[in-house]
Amino acid sequence: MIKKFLSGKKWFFEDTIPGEPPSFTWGAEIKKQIYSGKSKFQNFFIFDTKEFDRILILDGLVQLSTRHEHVYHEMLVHPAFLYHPNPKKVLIIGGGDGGVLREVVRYKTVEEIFLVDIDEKVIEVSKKYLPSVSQGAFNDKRLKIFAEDALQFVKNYKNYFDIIIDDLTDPTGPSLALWKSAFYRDIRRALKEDGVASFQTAYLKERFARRTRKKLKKTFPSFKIHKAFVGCFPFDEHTFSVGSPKINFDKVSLRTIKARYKKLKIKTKYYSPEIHFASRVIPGFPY
Amino acid sequence: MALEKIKNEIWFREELFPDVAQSIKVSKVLFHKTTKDKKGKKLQELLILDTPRFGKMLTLDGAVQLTEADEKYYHEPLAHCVLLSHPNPKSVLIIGGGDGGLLREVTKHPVSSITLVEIDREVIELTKKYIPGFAGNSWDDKRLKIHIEDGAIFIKKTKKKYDVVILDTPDPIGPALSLFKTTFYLDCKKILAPGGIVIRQTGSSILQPEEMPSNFRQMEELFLEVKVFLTAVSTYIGGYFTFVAASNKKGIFEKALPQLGKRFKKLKLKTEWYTPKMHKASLILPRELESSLKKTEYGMELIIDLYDCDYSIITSRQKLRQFAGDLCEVIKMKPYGKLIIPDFGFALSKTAGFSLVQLIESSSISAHYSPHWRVVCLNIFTCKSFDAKKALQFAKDFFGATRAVAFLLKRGGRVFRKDFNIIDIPSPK
Repeated sequence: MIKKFLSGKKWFFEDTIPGEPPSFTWGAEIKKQIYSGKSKFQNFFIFDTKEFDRILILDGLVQLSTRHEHVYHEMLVHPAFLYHPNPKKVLIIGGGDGGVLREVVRYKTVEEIFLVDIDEKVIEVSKKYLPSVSQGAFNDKRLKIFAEDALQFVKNYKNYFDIIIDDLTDPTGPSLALWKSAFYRDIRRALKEDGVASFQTAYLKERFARRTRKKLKKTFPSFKIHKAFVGCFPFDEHTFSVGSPKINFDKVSLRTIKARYKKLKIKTKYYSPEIHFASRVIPGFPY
Repeated sequence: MALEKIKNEIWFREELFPDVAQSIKVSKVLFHKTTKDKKGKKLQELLILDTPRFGKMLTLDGAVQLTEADEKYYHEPLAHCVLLSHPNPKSVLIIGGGDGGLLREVTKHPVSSITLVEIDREVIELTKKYIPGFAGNSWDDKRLKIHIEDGAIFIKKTKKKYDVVILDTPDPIGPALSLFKTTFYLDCKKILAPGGIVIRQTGSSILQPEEMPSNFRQMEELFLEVKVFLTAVSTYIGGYFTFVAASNKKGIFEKALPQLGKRFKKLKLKTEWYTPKMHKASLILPRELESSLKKTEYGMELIIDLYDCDYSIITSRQKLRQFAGDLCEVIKMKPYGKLIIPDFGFALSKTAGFSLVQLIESSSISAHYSPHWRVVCLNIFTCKSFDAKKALQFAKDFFGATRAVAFLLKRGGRVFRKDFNIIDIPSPK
């Protein structure tokens, strides 16, 4: 929603959380509108703002800000990858902005990356207006892009992927059917027994997010929630849930994670092996 | 006024930040008043609202102070992280905290005295009235003594010493301003008992990025041990909410960690946020926050000498005026006050020529122009960092200098630095 007030300045206010009657929201002053458009699946807005730099909005919900996306993408990718001893085959679901991909291509062990985003326009628009997010990762030779419905795509693979990253928009529009237990079971089947899946699961305290994490916990014998504060999701810590059929996350020690991280020789802005463990401590209240 | 009507609904729009705002639906305005002190001077604008999402909500001067739904994520770490870090806290001082939420958490500990200093009596009375049950019976606690006065003044004049001092202060606006002056921590240090701990809230890590590191550094100058605790409070939007705690007992926070489980169990605390594990995890900072604490120098100074400058430019007041304005834009600083460009010192050829002084926000630009020597001597001193190479290139180009030499100094760091960087642009052949 775009509103005009405060001495005629233009503001963007986010539409409210899916499945909830509108009771709270937030907004930022628009310095400049960079893009607006529409695809077969969703509405697009890109604005420049002061506190968040450039923000991408799909169907009225903020997807990323260039100032803070590194927190989100590092925490969605690195915990999952570092739980795994040797990730080779990777599937990215959604993630058309290229941020997850950018972090994934930093792993030299990876041989094959599939990116399935139903909406090609997200990739096209992101490449053009948000180049700092993918940083050229779309040119990686290991990458194959599929503009398909992930719901069907995942059914074609059994025991195939080492890592699956679920980077979907919140449950509205094209993603709605992918926030369901049936889809999570298909993801589990597409994953190798010692594979790891990582999901963006929205705010810690949000009701629909809590229901989703319960579904995931039922699907995966090994399950953990990692959390981090992403500036453009300003009401709470965001959660990143990881699940695996066989890898016991409790048995992967700080020493192991440190050794794997060191071997990678990458610099992360937010993630560290220490944050890996601190980020999975949840407040006393059972979320 | 932070309340607005949208399609027959009332919404509260926060006015804490100029370009980011949360907006919360209101089901009922329970109370609205501008409070005054004894002399009739305006203290603050107070709103108590009922909201469908966050329950009852208290706001001061357009900023959310607490909501029933998330106040525990603020009050629990603020109280328990220090009270459980201390091996045996007896006396506690609370500055602010008129809503009683912090008091409620403190009374759960077996301390022998609690002193609460609140500047605005009405905050206490009104939260008691409109959010009853919020503080339980804590206001009737026999260990409690209440003082209605400015916390900064109380701390200055009290003769007592405290084991734990908790600064439950609002944002640095309104009557709380005196709690944000730099000498304040000196006073805090004086009233701490041996091994005592002081803690304060230092705002949001993203929307108020300077608060936590600057308070951390101020406290680091005065105390032997300083730590940052993190929490996340929904209606304190925009990033981790931070607390800085300090003590004069070396290693007090580290040494407490193995004891937390035992201490927590003994107290039989019922908590929503706090667990010994959360206590430990909240001390671990994301990489970018960790590095924001390491910048220890006060500011930087760029000293530039320009040779063989264009005579017509360095003798034109108008050009020099333009230079000062453009330079501010290049280094992204705001000018403060009037630009001064006197022309004096004609007795010697060396001293004749314009001089220029422009204060910029918390820093300054000064320059001396010698038409006889065709030299410009320029100093840019700021406590914010800026792109020195850009500034140098700009100045060199502006005055058409054939040669420029610059020194970049770090100023006011706690460690004296002998090294400084020399940037030298050689003259063209």
